[in-house]
Amino acid sequence: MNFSAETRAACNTAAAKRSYNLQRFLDGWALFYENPVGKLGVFLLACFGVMALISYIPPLIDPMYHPMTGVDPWISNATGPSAKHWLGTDNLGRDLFTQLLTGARIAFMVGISAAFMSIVFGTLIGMIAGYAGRVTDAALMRFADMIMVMPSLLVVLLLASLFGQLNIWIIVLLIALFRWPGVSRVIRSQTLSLKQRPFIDMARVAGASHMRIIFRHILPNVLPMACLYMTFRVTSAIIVEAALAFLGFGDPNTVSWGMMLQWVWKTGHMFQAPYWLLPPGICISLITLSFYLIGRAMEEVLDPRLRKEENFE
Amino acid sequence: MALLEVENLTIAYKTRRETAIAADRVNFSLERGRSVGIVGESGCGKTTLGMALLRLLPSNGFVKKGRVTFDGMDLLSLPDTRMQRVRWKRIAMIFQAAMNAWNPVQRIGDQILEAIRTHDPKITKAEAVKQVEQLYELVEIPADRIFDFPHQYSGGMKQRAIIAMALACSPDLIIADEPTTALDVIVQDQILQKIKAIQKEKNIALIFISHDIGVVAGVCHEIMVMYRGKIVEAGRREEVFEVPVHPYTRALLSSYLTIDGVFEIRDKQSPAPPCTPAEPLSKELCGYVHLCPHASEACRSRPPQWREITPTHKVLCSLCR
Amino acid sequence: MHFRKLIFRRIIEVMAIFFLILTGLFLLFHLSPGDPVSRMVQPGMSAEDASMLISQLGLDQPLWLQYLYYVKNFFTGNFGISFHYGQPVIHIIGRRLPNTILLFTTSVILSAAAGVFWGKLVAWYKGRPIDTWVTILALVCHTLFLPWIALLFIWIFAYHVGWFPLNGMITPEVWINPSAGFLTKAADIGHHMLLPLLTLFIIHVGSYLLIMRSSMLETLKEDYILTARAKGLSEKRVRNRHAAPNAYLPVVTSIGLSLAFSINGGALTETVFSWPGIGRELIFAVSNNDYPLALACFLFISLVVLVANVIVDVLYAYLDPRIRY
Ligand SMILES: Nc1ncnc2c1ncn2[C@@H]1O[C@H](COP(=O)(O)OP(=O)(O)OP(=O)(O)O)[C@@H](O)[C@H]1O
Ligand code: SF4
Ligand SMILES: [Mg+2]
Repeated sequence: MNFSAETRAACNTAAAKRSYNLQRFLDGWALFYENPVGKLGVFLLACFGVMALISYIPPLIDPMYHPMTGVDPWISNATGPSAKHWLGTDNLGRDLFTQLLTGARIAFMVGISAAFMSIVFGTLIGMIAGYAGRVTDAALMRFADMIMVMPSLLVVLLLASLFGQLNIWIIVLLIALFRWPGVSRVIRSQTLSLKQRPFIDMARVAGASHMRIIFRHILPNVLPMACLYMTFRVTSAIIVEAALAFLGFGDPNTVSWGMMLQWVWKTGHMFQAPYWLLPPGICISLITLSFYLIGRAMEEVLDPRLRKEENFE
Repeated sequence: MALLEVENLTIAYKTRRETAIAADRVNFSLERGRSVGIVGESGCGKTTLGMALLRLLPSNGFVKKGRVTFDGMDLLSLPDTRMQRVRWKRIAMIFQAAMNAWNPVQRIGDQILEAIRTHDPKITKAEAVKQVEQLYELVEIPADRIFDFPHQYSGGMKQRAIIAMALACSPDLIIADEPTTALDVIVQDQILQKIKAIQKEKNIALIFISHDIGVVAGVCHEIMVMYRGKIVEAGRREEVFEVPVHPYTRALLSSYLTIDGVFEIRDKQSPAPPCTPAEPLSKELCGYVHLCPHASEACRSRPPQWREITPTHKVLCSLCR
Repeated sequence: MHFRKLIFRRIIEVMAIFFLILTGLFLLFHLSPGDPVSRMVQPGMSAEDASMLISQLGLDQPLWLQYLYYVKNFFTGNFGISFHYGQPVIHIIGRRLPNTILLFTTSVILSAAAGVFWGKLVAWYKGRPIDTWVTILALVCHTLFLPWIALLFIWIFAYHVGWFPLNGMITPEVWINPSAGFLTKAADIGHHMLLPLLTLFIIHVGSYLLIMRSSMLETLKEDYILTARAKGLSEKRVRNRHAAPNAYLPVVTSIGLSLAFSINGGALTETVFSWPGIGRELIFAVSNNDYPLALACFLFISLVVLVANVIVDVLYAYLDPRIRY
C-alpha cells in the first residue's frame, strides 16, 4: 500500500538522480575541456600513452633493442645519441630510447593500478566510517591518521628490507596500502553530508539495506571526488615507485625511469652522460605534471572546498 | 541638492553564458536624515544596488551606465583612494550576512577601532576605545565584551556590533542590507527600533533593504518596490501602503496583510517565484506580465511607462492612466 | 585553559599513535621471514658479546616478554649494536638526528614562508600574467622528481660551475684546523647545506604556494573581506590584515599533513648529497641489512614527524582564536 508508493518514490528519485548525474558529468566535461590546464594535461598524457604503446615495437625490430637484455654488440660503453641509438646507450650498450619507452609503460602500470587500489580502499573505508559513525568512524579515522603520519617511501623501504626483494606488484600493493587515508578522509566528510540528505532517509524508509544504501546511493555521489583523488594518487604512486627504484629497491626485472636514474647515478655517469641523466627525470616530472594538471582541471569542475588535504605527493 | 542622487543606474553581471542585467535604470534621490526602503523578493537586485553605491560589486559585476552623485561627488568616477575615504566615513554599510561579516581571527573591538583609526589617523587609541564604549552603550552590549572574538558573540550581538561599527565614523548615509533577516522576531524588532532611533537622532540618511515590506514600513519614510531589477513603484510610505497601484506591490502587501479589505486588495495570490537570472531582464516589456492578473494586450506589446499618481508617488505600469 | 587542554590531548593522541607504530614494527619484525636473533646480532660477534646482547634485547624470552623488553629498551635507548658501525645504534642516531632536524626544519620553514608569501600575492593578482606564470612555475616545481633535480643541481652547480661542494656536510680540513672558530665552521656547514636546501626548497615551495593561493582565493570570497573593503581600508591592508591571516589556517593544516612527505624527500636529498642525516642512514642500513640501525632510524623518523605535527597543531591553535578561546 503506502509502502510500495514510497519505494516507488525512492526509485524515482534514484532514476532522476542518475540522469542528473549524467547531466552534471556532461557539463563538467565541457567545463574541463574549456580549461587550458586540463587540455595540456590530456595532451601530455596522450604523448606518454603513445610512448607506452610503441615501446613494444623496437625489440621486434632487433633484439638488441630489448630494454633489459638487448646489448649492442659494437658498443661497450655509454655513448651519446646516434642514428642507431636515438638517445645513446648505457654503459652496457643497451639502448636508452627503448628503456625510456618501456619506462612509460611501467609508470602507467604502477601509477594507475596503485592509484586505483588506494582509491578503492580509501573510498570504501571513508564511506563505511562516514556511514557507520560512532566507534567505527573514530577507530578508522585514528587508523588513517596513523598511516598518514608515516612516510610512505621509508615504510615501503623498511618492509622491503624485512621481507626481501619486492616485485613490482608488491610495490604497487604497498603503495596503495599507504596512500588511502587522504582519500578516505574526504570521502568520509562527503558521506557525512550526504547522510543528512532526505533521499538517504527515504531509501532507508523504503527498506533498503545498509549495503544497498552505501553502494547505490552514496557511492555514485562520492565517485567524482574519488576520481579526482585517483589522478593525484597516480602521481604519488609513480613518484614513490621511481624513488624506490632510484634507491635500488625496485623490481630488478623491470626497467623503470627511476631505475634508469639509479643506473646513471650508481655507475658514476651523471657527470659525463647528460643524454642518460636528463630524459628519465624529464619523463617522470612530466608524467606527474600531466596527471596533476588533469587533477587540477577536474578539481575546478568539482567543488574544491571539499578538499582539505592538499595534493602532496 | 539631495545628498544622494542615483540616475539611470544599470548594473550587469558577466557570467560564463551571458551578461545579465541585475538592476535596470534605477532612479532615486535621498535627502539627509531621510530613509528609503527597497523591497522586493529574493534575487531582484537589492544587494546589487547597494553594493554598486559603494563600488563593491563582485569582480564580474559592473555598472553599465548611470550616475551616482553623493554630496556633489560623482562616486562612480572617483579615484580609488578617494573612494576609500568615502567608504565608512561618509557611507557605511550593514551587510546582509552579519554572521560572516566579522573577520574570525580578529577581536571585534580591534575591527571597530580599525575603522575609526583608518579615517582619523590622529586619534589616540584610548580615545578611540572610549568611542567604541559609547557605541556599545548605544547598541546595548556590555563594554567588557568589546575585545571578544566574533565566535564568542551571539548572532544578535554580532548584528548589533555591526551597527555600532557602522556608526563609528558618524557617516552621512547608512546602507542596511537586510540587517535582521537571520534573527528571531524579538531581537529583530529590538534592532529595528535601534536603527530607527539612531537614524532619527543622528540625522543620518538610510537606505534600508529588505524583502519584508512590513519591516520596511516600520522603519522608512519612503518605499521603493523592486521587481526583477527594476523599481516598479516608489512613493512615500503612506502612499504606497494606502494606495498600492502596481499589481506586484499589491501582491506583496496582500501576502503581508492577512486581513482582507483594509486596503481593498483583490489580488489574492502569492508573490511570484524568484526570477532566474537566465531569463532576460533587459527586455523592454513589463517583467511581471506572466503573473499579473491585470495583464492586457497593451502590456504584452508596449513597454510600461512611469505614471505619477501624486508628485511623490510613481508607478511603472500600463494599468493606470 | 582550553588551549592547554587541547594541546595536551593532542600530545596524548600522538603518543598513542607512536605506541601503535612501535608495536606495529615489533609485529612486522617477528612476522617477517628470517630469524630475529641473527637479524639483531651480527654474525662476527664474539659468543660472549652475542649472548649479552641477546639477553639485553630479551631475544631468548617468550614473545610477549620480548615485547616488554623491546618497549623498555626503547625508553632506555638500547637498540642494539649496528652491524655496519659496530657501535651502539643510539650513538649513531644521536649523531645523525641533529643534522636531519637542521635540514628538515630549515627547508620546511623557508619553503613554507616563501610559498605563503608568493601564494598570497599571486592570488591577489589572479588572472594577471604574474599569476599565470608563477602558478605554472609552481606546478612544475611541485611535480619535479626530487632525486633527479638533486643530481641535476650537483651536476650543474657543484660539478660544472664549482660553486658548491659535491656532497657531505663539512670539509674535514676546515674542522681539523684548531684555529677555526664557530663562525667558520657554521659557514662551512652552510656552504654544504645550500644545495640540498635548494633542492628541498624547490620541491616544496610550489606546493605551499599552490595551497596558499587557493586558500587565499577562497578567503577573498568571504563576507568579512567585503566588510574590510567597505570600511575604506587600503587594498594592501585588506590583503595583509584580513585575507592572509585567515588564509594561513588551511596552509598550516596542509603543512602538518605533508610532513611525512617532506621527510621522504629529506631522506632522498640526504642520500643524493651524502648529508649525514638519519634518513640517509635508514636507506643505507636497509641496503646493508643492518636491521638494528634500520628499525631505530625508522622509529626516530616517525618521532620527528609526530613531534613536528604537534608543533604545527600548536601553531594552528595560536593562529585561530576559535580554537584558542
Ligand atoms: N556575482 C554574481 N554573478 C552573477 N550573477 C549574480 C552575482 N551576484 C548576484 N547575481 C544575480 O543578480 C541578481 C540580483 O542579486 P542580488 O544579490 O542583488 O539579489 P537580492 O535582491 O539582494 O536578493 P536577496 O534578497 O536574496 O539578498 C540575482 O539574479 C543573482 O542571481
Ligand atoms: S504593466 Fe501590465 S503586466 Fe505589468 S504590472 Fe502593469 S498591468 Fe501588470
Ligand atoms: Mg541581498
